[in-house]
Amino acid sequence: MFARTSIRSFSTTVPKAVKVTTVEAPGSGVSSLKVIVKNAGSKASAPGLAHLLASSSFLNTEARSGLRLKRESELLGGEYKATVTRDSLVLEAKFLKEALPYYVTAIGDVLTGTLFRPHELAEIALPYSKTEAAAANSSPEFKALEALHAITFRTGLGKPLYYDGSKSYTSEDIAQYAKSVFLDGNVEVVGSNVVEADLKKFISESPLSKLPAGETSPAPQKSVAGQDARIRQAGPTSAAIGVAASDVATYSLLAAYAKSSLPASSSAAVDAKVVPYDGAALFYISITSPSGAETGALVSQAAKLLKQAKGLSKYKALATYNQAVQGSSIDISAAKDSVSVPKFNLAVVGDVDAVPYADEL
Amino acid sequence: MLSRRFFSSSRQVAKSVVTKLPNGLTVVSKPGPQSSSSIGLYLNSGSRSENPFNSGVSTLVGSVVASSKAASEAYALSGVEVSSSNAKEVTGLAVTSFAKGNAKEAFKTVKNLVANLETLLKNESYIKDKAAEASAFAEAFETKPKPMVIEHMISTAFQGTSLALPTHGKADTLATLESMDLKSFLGKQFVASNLALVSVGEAKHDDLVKLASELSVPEGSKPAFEPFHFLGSDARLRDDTLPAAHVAISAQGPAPSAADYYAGLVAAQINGLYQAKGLYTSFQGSQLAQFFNANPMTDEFDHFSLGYSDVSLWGAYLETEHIEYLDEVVHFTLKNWNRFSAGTFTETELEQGKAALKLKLLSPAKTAAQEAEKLATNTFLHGFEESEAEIIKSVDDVSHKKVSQWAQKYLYDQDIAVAGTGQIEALFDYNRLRNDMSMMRW
Repeated sequence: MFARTSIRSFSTTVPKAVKVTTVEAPGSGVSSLKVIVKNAGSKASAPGLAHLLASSSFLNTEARSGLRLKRESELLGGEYKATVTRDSLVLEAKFLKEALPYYVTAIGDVLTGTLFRPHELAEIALPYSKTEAAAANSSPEFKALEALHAITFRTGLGKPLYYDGSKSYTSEDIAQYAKSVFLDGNVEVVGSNVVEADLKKFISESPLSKLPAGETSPAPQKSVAGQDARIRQAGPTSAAIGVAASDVATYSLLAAYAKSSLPASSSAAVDAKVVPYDGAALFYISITSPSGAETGALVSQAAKLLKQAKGLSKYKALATYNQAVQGSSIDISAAKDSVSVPKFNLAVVGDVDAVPYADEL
Repeated sequence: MLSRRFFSSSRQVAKSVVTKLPNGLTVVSKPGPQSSSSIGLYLNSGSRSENPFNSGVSTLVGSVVASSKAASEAYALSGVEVSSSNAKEVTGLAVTSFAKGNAKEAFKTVKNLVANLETLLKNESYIKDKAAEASAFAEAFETKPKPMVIEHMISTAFQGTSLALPTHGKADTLATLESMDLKSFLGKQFVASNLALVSVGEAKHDDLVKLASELSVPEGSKPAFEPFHFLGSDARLRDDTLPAAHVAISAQGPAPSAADYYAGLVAAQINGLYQAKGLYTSFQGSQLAQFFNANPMTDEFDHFSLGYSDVSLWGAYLETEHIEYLDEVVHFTLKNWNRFSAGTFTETELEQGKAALKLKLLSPAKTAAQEAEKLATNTFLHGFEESEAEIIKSVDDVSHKKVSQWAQKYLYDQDIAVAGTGQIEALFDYNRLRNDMSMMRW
């Protein structure tokens, strides 16, 4: 009896291409759904177009209007949002667990039937995108990190994450782009606190199973080192020092080492990370302080540390913790004990005179 | 035959377990599958246990522990992050966060930090540095309009009592604190009956109980909070250099343990949060949101119910760049509150508020440490944490009539506490604001 019931008769009805995974999460009353459209992030689109696509999500579709979706969500106890990352477009919903089929269908509708009306772009998506971009760019830390991506990867991952207004697009452009990336091979569904069999069944009954077949492959990412980007502006001084990471495992130990070794101060914020992207990874140390001189001094220390990093194995536990917090899963068992980064990129925002150039470090 | 559905959804539901040790120390743990866990020692005393002469001492104690040498070593070499947290009635004294599989190191860290506490407090120069940092932090807090204006609203509401003291302390007082102040504060508060060892995630309850019994914590009776006293009043910190006007208004609500507390929580969710620049804001269903969509004169409103052990504050934070309309923004918001007592809010609004509240209360916090703080707060408040089923039942029990009754008792024609900062020239005087809490018609 048990053997019979455990056979998943559902899974075969799900189109093979849509990848479905489930994760356990604390609590049991609230579930969440993350639909990741790979290769639909800012690296793949014309600059800023992916951000506009994210802001155009969850508006009017063939099946239901944006108004209806919002009002029904309020009654069901659900929230939804669309975010753009460098790699992908992420459609997320968090809801009381009974509403799972509703949101599977709703997100499916977004992917298959969004209408992309011109007035929605002008009145909702575009103003919101500009607000979001302006809010992000008001942080010198974010700005320095954007510049670091730009000089490290130039195109692809180096494109701006958000819409910067340098190009203008019509709703037709967004629709075209959506059509080119909303393919079943690109879509991955991650449910948390849901029953996998139920999720698969609901997906097979939803528009998600009717996505056009195909997938887009990520463009190879090329990187350079030894570059500088300097943006002079008022306010705190932020510096991002980094390089494309080839050996992700070792670099995540290096990040842990850097984060715990740079001297703590109440005024300076120091962060070090390896961000794994599809096809490349970026290692960076970010330093922000109200005083340009403090940022400059910390950048010099960080550079020294990067040139000769030894005894990294000690930081395995910290690297594991950082990954748990960051939500990434890099296998660090094969990490090396020492690494040397002779050439790196440096992006500085703020009082740029107080921070040395990359080749002076 | 058992159905398939039965198997697949019969996952064990995480429930918190509470043990009280003979010396009075509470151990509470909530298992969970999250990738990072937290164990922390929490004090059931925060800024409310301070006085005007040691304001900020509870924040300082936490930061002294969290930035100690033992803490930074645990971080670098064992991957155990030590943090502290502070609220009106709860202080996270030594809170650890760690990745799955590292519970042993976290246990060691907690034990180590508690054992080192006395030596830490002896280090005068270290305490002085930390006091200067905490003072700078308290100063910086005053530059964030939203939390700042809410803090001042609480202060004016409970003026003259210790509940009025700012959560993160007064900058001037903090700068003068010395190790003696910390010792005398901990001497009274750091007793077993006033402490809880809280765990969220993978640590086993039995191990925690063992750890708790090994901690060297003095016994003693639990210190009581100074009683609260609500006074309708206003505090204005006009600052015309800010681009907007920020106002927080609230009335006294019931204690979180009272039967009608949930009605207020639902009412706060009915109006909820409105951000004029949000992506889906124009579709929002609440009547007040619709009103401000049609008459764009506010940038944000955020309704809240702040619960303390014996009282709560129910109200809203309002923000607008259209400073010339601030009087209207406040007036129409307070008139909207009148609908609760008049019972003219709709069933749909009620259902929407209940659904939003369930989602809010059942959603896990962003980090394990925040989840642990939530658990600690609930445990101190009720002696246990309500299960999800209990929360759902409490919310479901709220009816249209109950919300009306709650509003008639706590909102209609009641005194209010008001705080404002930014360009608040158009914020009316207290009596005109107070008049909006009742109606000339019914």
